[in-house]
Amino acid sequence: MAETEVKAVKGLKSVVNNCTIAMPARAPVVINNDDALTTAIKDAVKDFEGVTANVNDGQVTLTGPNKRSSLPNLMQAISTLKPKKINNQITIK
Amino acid sequence: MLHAASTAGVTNFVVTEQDNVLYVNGNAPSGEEKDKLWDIYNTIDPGFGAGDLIMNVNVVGTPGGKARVTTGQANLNIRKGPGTDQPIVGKAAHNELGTLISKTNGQWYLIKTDAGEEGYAYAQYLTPEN
Repeated sequence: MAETEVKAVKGLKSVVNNCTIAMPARAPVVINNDDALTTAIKDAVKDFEGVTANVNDGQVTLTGPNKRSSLPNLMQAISTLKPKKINNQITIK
Repeated sequence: MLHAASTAGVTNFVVTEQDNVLYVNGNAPSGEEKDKLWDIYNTIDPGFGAGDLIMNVNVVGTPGGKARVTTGQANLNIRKGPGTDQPIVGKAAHNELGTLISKTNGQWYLIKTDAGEEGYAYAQYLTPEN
């Protein structure tokens, strides 16, 4: 729009537009480090018998059997720990 | 789901996308509204296998307010300190209403039961009632 307006000025041959659009600053997502995740995850999966959680580079990989009905509870417990990603490889029993 | 969250009165609602994962953070007004959001997530991605959403929406409790024990069926352990390695000093029954003294962190709350037992309980099993 600014370019169109400037081009309308009489006598100008060309307009070089070097404008950049400022994006609103956005805080990066808070992700816990592996040590904090590993400590916290022990408490989180304690009540989900047979479930194993491994932490690597902020990603939590869940394996083992779990009931479908309690899967949302497990996902909630892990999500509150601020991981980068949850790789859910749980088998429904 | 994001629409549902905004109409459900979720506050401090922040949605960020980073490395193909959507991070949804906020404070739900009640346990019921939180459950609704998880029901929607469970419908969109049955089995939660896609790994593209981290939903961290929790019910905000006010210290001094009440919190209900929302375990599956079991009693909730009350511990001396915040951690499952801490000794158990009491138990709160399923569906019992206790007092939230303080929020130690996202995982552990300091609570007091009506029977007078005081200690740390796992936050995931406590739903503040505002």
